[in-house]
Amino acid sequence: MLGPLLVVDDDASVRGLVVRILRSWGHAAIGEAGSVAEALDYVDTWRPAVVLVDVGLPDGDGFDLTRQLRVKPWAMRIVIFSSDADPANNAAAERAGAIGFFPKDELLSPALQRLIEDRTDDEP
Amino acid sequence: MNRYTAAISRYGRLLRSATTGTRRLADSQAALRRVTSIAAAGVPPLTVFEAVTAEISALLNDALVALTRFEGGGSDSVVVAQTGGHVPVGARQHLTGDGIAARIWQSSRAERVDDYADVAAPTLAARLGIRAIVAVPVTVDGRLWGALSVSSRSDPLPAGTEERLALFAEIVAAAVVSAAARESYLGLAAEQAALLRVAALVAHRAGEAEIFEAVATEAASLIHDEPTTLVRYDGNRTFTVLATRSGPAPVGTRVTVPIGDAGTLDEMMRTLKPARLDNYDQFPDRTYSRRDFGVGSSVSVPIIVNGRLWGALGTLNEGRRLPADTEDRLGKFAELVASALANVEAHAELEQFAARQAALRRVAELVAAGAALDEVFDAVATEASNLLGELAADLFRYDGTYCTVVATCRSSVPVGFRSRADGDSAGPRAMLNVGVSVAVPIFVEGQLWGGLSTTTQGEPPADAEEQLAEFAKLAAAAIANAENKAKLRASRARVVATANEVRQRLQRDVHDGAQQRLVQTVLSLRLGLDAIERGETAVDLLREALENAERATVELRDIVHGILPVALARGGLQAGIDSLVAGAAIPVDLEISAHPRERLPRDVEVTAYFVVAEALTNIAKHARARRAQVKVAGVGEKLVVEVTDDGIGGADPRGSGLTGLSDRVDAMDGTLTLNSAPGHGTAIRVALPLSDPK
Repeated sequence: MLGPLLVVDDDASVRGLVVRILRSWGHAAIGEAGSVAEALDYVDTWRPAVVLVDVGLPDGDGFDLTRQLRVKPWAMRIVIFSSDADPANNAAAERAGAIGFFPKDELLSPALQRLIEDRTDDEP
Repeated sequence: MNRYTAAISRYGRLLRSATTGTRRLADSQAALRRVTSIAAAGVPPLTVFEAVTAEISALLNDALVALTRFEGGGSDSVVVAQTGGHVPVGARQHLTGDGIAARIWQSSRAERVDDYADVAAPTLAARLGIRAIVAVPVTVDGRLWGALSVSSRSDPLPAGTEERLALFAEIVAAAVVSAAARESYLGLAAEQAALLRVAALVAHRAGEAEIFEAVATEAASLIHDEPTTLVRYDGNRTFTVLATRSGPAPVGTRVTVPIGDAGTLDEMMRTLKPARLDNYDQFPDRTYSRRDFGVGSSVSVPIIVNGRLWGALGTLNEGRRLPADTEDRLGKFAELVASALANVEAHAELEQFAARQAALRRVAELVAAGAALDEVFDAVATEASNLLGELAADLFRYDGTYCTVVATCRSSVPVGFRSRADGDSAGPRAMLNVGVSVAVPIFVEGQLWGGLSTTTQGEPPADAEEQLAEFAKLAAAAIANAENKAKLRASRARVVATANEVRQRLQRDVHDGAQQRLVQTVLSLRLGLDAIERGETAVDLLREALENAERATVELRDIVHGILPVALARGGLQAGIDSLVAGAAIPVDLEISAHPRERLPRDVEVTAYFVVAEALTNIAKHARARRAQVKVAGVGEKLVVEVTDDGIGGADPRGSGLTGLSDRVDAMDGTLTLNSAPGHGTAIRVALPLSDPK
């Protein structure tokens, strides 16, 4: 069983859609954050196992947030998403320490589901 | 020579008339031929004189023959040739009493004494043992020159001796004339040679000192080596000796001619003509040159260069009367000196002109090459200073209150020196106690920008102002260039920045708006599809998808309109402006002339559209106007757009909106004028060229 999941996006309607997708995959404990600050607050309190982060945030960007999350003393699986499907985002996400990047319109993809649930690529 | 030939031919006629066919006459004819040929050979006069006396003596049975010359205006007679040793050559006789020489001097005719015993006080004749004598006058150019005589110690001389002597006297006269002519020719040649030597120095641009020295020396040599001096006139009746040939005052001596002086320099200054005084003794108290230098006789001729008295050439001595042609001879050298100096002055002027042109060209090339202003300013100061004879040159900026020095050359004022510009515009001058200052303004596009000045303790060059003005013009051109370039650079930078900003805003607008909405549409639809597949209701999801799709459509339309309004793109300027006016916050009176109803070049339409759009936006935001007016008309080859309002005025031309408009208009080679006096509304007028800008 995964711990709680966190969805970070400043657009509430997008967060709603992502939450709905995650629920459809059977996840129940899902938190929401609209900014980098809210995300960091949530993480420190709830220690989620998986974080889905939008690139464009009002007080920073998803890559920065990922780097900050990576230095936390517990492991988190972070996926970056964006409505911008620029392939350069894949490399940038990897460099920031995310396990993957998805364009928003592919958030329903089984690949994302596997990535979130598959623990094989967990860090030791 | 002509005179000589005439004398010979005159002699020929006489000879023919006198020849009667007798033996005596034949001998006489042969003797005359011989002396004629000797005289015609151009031998020295003395040789002719000796030949004449010898031939006559031989013809008259070794008679005692003498040729004497009158001297001292008839007071003396001197023996120049003789035969028989009856009288020594060079013997001088005072023409006194009833002697034969005195008689000829009085009568100018042949004279005869048949027996000196009948003559009172015949001292010389008696001493020489002469009893009888016949003498004829030698007349040269109508003047009594001398006498030719035959003396006898025994019998009186035969009748007809006078006529025979007269023939030989003609030969003597001809020889004298010929010698005088040759002498004067030689003198002329010497004068020409002397002038030529000086002229050659002038032509080879020898130094002035060398030319002056040569003039004094050569002139002296033509006037029997009398002391000759060249002086320069320094003004105020003062002269400086520049060159001298054995004159009493050494080179460098300065003399001031007292007022009322009786000497030649005073007269020459008054008349600007040659002056002569043969006897300074007449004015012992009124001639400084007699007092200071012992001058007793002098001739001074003026040297006049370009109409001004430049100096004088003078010959002087202790009292000997100078030759009559002294004025002429000195005058020729004076002319030569004058033309040499005029040449030097003309040459100097030409050099100055060339130097000025070269200096201006150097600065102009810097300006044309778009050199940095500092570099141009330095060049202007340096070149101006060089051309003004190395006077100080300062280039300064004037800001309405202060003058700030921005470049200097040979100046005691430092760059950066600032002085108040009220009253005495030459602030630095006042502070540094500089003598004279000449300054010219630098106007840049009609505005006083600053000035260029020179300062000197002495007298500035007469054309200083003119010279400075030429450099000021170049400085102005450089400044205008630089300012325009800076404006253009800023305008380009703003255009680029604006373009970047527009692109970023567009990217943000699309990304944050329509793209999000469309992504959400896709996600909602997919979720809905999944729900339907699972047999669940998808109505909410479909509604959400529709909502997002509609919002995306609106946002995209707004964005596209922002890029280029559809009305403008499809319907042209009139349609574009109609749509702007329709959406305006206050009533707008629209007046569009026939011309813009047609389609205009696209850039003109777009620019005109944004002028109206920006102006209406500004009115809505800032003007607090109740009404606005938009006028669009074709005027000649231009499209003129005017937007006016009745608001509060006082628009800031440096505001981002107006700057952006100004940049757009500049890019089209158009003009923008803004009238926005506080309280009097705002009027923007833009004129755009309609000719295709390519």
